[in-house]
Amino acid sequence: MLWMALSTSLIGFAALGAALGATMGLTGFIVLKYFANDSAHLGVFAVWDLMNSFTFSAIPMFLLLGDLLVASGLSSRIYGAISPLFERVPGQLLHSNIAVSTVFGAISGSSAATSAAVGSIAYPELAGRGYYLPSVAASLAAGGTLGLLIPPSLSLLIYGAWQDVSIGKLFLAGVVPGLLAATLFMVYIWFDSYRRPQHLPAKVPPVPFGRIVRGLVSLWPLVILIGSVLGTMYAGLATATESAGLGVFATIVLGFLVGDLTPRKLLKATIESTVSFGALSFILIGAAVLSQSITILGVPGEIVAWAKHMSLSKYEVLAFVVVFYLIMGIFFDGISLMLTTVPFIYPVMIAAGFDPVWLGVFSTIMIEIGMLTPPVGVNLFVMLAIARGKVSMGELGRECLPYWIMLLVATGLMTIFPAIALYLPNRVFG
Amino acid sequence: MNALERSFAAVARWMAYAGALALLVMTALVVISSVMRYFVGSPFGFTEELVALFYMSMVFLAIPLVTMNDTHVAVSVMPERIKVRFRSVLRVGAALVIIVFCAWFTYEAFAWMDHSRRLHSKSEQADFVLWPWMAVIPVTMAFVTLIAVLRLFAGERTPAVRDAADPLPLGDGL
Repeated sequence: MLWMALSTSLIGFAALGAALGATMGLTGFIVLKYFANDSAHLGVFAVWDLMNSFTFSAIPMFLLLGDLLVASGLSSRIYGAISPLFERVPGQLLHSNIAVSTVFGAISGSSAATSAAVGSIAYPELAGRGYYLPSVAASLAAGGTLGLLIPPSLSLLIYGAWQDVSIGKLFLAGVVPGLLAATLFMVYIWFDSYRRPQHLPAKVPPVPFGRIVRGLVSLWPLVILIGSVLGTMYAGLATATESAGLGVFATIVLGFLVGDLTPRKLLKATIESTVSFGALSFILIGAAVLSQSITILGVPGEIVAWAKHMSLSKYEVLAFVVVFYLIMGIFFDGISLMLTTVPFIYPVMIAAGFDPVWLGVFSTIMIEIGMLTPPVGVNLFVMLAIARGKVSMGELGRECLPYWIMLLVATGLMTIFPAIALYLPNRVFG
Repeated sequence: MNALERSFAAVARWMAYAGALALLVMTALVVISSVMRYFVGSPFGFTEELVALFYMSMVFLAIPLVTMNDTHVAVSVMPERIKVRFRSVLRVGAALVIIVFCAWFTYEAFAWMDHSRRLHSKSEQADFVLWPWMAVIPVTMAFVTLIAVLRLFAGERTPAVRDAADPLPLGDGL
């Protein structure tokens, strides 16, 4: 009966097109009211616990940091400095899309912000040089996913704060898988440059060495930013929230000193971050109520018991979860996919013997795959908006498929070799 | 209806501005507190609690504008694929879900806030009286309920309403 009420209301409300937060929250209230001794008030307690949190307050600060990087023009400086390095490599500037997204991901924690920031600079540049536009858009959409994996990462932050897993460990665990995904993307671009050379412009003359050096030297504000955000945290000087605050402060100072930041742009970025976080936090509120209801009724325990009853091995559980994520990625986008699935997935995977830190990185990669999955993949929409009708959803979806597969390959490698995610955090934190 | 919608939009926009201010204040608090701890050696005892309260306020103050502009995250696969004449039925259903949830949340949050007010409960370390902060939740969620009801009955939005609900470019007061 409980399962019937839970699944009917979740699927039914979502199918109506209702706000996801309300869908989960109302389902949670119904379950608490009718299956847990009229205890709907516990849903509000859960929201208060989640929202009255110093750790969670880092999330809007990281969002603000990403918006400020774009508003201050510091993101275009990164592109200008890194792109000359790849002009002569097979695949040319498509590599720079991935490399710049990787570097941008080390400052910003958001996938859509990374796609938007790098895409708005790189797309017009590459379109003007005669690159095949769907390939350009796909490389930028895929590069954007690195923003969520390479620390600081919003999804790892939410996962850690919600499931009480060390955020420092999670951030370190995202580094090597993030670099692995970036490398796999570049390998595909290199391979594709031989398979479809007609999609690239003619060879360009070599870039003078002096220009490359000057470009790299101009990245000094970036070094300060990465130091403020990640350096302070890994040096044990600051918590995740403090490093987010210091990162915002450093971006504002650098934006005014060496960028194009103005008080008006600062206000605009702050309001944009607040409103976009409002949409995200409504889902968090609903997820908190739902999570409270299913935890009180022992639903996660029932799922674990069912998995044990079915005698599923660790890797059969993983395969089931991967398929589940791939299907859910068709309907849910980005962080909402994590918020909807983690209350169910976490207990099952932990009971199956997976490491909580490894699981955080795994969930983030699965979310990234969802971000490249039509029809709701956020990064696809960001790039379609930047391409202004020059690329169709069908073309973009097809061009994204190899990157989608590369992320699955990364997940497979991480499953075979868990140390890809766990070596760094275990080494640093013991 | 149009004037009411414009008023609601303006209030929602100013609530979002207050939320943005809360974001700036909590960022400043975190930075100042870090400086005080690592450079002056005299940390504030209230930062974590105050930042958390500002964060909670920011979250709830932003939701009315998100609802006003209908920018909540939703699964749109079915509404986009069914025949046009059925879409209005789904729209009413979707609106009822958010109305019932927010009204229910308001009711529960108000009872809880009132209980806290009667107990005069305070935060653990810095002794902040909590109920005024808690009051942000029922007030904003009640307003979200009203906005959702209004959006259900309102027709196509006029340019004036769209302008009133547009957080950017920075409007009149900013």
